[in-house]
Amino acid sequence: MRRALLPILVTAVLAGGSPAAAGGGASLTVAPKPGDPTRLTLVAHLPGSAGEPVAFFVVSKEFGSARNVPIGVTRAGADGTARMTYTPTWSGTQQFVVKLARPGARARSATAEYRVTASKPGPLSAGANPPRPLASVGHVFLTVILTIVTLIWLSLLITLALAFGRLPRLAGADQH
Amino acid sequence: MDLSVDTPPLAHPAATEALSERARRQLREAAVRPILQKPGPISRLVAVVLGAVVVLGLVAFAYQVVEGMSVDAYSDAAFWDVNIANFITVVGVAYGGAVISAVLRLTGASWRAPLVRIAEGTSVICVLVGGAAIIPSLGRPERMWQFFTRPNFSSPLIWDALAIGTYAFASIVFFLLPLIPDLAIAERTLGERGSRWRLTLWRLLSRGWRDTPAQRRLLRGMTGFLAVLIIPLAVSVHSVLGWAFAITSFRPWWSEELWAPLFVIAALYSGIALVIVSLAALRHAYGLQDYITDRHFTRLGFVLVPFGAAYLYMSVADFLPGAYHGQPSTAAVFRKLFVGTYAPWFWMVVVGGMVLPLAIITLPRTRRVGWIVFASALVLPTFWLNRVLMVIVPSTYNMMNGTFGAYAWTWVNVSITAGAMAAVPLLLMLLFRVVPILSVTEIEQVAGAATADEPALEPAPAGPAQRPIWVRLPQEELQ
Repeated sequence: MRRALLPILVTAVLAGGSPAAAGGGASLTVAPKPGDPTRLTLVAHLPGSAGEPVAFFVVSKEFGSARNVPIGVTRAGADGTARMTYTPTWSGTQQFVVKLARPGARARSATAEYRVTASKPGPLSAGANPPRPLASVGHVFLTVILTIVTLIWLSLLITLALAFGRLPRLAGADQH
Repeated sequence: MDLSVDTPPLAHPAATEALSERARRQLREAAVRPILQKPGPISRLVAVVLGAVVVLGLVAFAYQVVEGMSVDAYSDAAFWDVNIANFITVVGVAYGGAVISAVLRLTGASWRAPLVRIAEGTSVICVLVGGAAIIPSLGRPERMWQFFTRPNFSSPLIWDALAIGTYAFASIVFFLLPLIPDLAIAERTLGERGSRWRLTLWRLLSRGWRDTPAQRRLLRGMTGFLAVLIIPLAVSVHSVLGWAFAITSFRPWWSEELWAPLFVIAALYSGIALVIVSLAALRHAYGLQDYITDRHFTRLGFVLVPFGAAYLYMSVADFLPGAYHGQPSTAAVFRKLFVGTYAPWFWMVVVGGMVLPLAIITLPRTRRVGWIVFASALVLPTFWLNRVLMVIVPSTYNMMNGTFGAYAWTWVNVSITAGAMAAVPLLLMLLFRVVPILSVTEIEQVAGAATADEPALEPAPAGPAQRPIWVRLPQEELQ
């Protein structure tokens, strides 16, 4: 079923570009929020959906095949326009989908593609992959280790130089 | 169970007070016996066979370079190979000699004196051969220099190279420094019997040694410093080796925090076993029974036991949690080891490499030289086998579908393995054709002969009336 839906979505995107519209004059526009480039404003227009719940999705291939990951649900205004603010958690070209959330609603939807250039990991992502404990001191650690290795080599070379240079000079010293 | 140790006599029968002149002569003769003594037919045969195996290994390596890694059984199904196991094994056994020598020096154990030269020599040879044994795993050895010109500090391999390079250099210096007085003695007293190239080399390396108090002080200080340095260096080498596995792509059994200390203990265990086997072979080959006594073996056996017990304990600690929680990939690998295809080899390692050696040495009935050497000889091949299992089984496990790929033994990887293993005894034999096999100065110091007020060495006067100091005296003259 999901595989069957995918070509329809892709076709809609290719046909409409970004922003794109599909299904009875429905449209979706994606734009960065003024003053905060890490957040996006998604504006959907679904004619005849005044007061109805509208669901927004981002298409993700994180779990294998492409699937709609819910972003949130909001109600459409009297003119059938619904807005949603979304903070992308990864960069790159992303596809967004909007449709009526009410079960049994007439299948009206729209898609749009948007190239995200500024993102910040969401709390779930940060929880799943916490920063490595030594990541912030890695360069210091590297410098310390390399310094120790250098000191060891220097001490070995000095020892060898002492053996080869100083021992012959001590041959006549303190001789019984 | 009798675990008592008799206090051993000092290095030489005549050394209870101080070495007599005759005993000193005999000692000095024994120290250069491998140099002066013409190799017998058995020694020659052994050298030829070992040399042939080494040449075969080199030919196989050249073939692998030309034909590619697939002839060495590297494939998608087995991304690491027996060459890695050879590398870990030989570098591991290099640990024992240097560390036991360093520890015995630092603790002032007088019984070390006849052993240290062979122990340190074994260490140097093994770390050089072990370092070379990784080259067949590189695939493009002609690009090895890029290791240093374009180092990737986030890769464990660069730290392996740094740690092993540093340890190898330190081992060589640690071997060379105590050799200086002995080379001076050899150069001045052996004369033309030492052959011209040897005399030149000894003169170069002995650095005008006259055994003055100032020279002794300096040499003692440098040797003590190196004895301290060599221990953490050796620990670092084997820890880095363990971490190289632990941080490689989350393979089952490799992602173990325990592997670094396990590698250190295993290296000490196998390294001391190699020292025992080397001592036994060289003692027998060159008739050094007066210096390397049965009680040296008993003592080394007692040194071996705690490391063997620690190795056994850490191996149990390594397997038990993984076998209990049954995480799928770890469980698959452990099942393969415990009851699967590799079970005979795995249990051979457990019984032959851990349980039997410990039992042999701790039981008073079998605490004899022959049995101790046998126990140590059991440790070495099983230690290698253990490394082969550690490398091959997890690296053939398919993380996607949970199956195991096949690993193939080919004439190439068998020949390279045999060549690496044969290089160790061969180079050890050659090494003691060049330098004295016994640490004459240390044995004399231990015996009290080389005290601070002893006259400094003078060049040996020439002339037929002078009796060469290296003449072997009959045993009865020592009494």
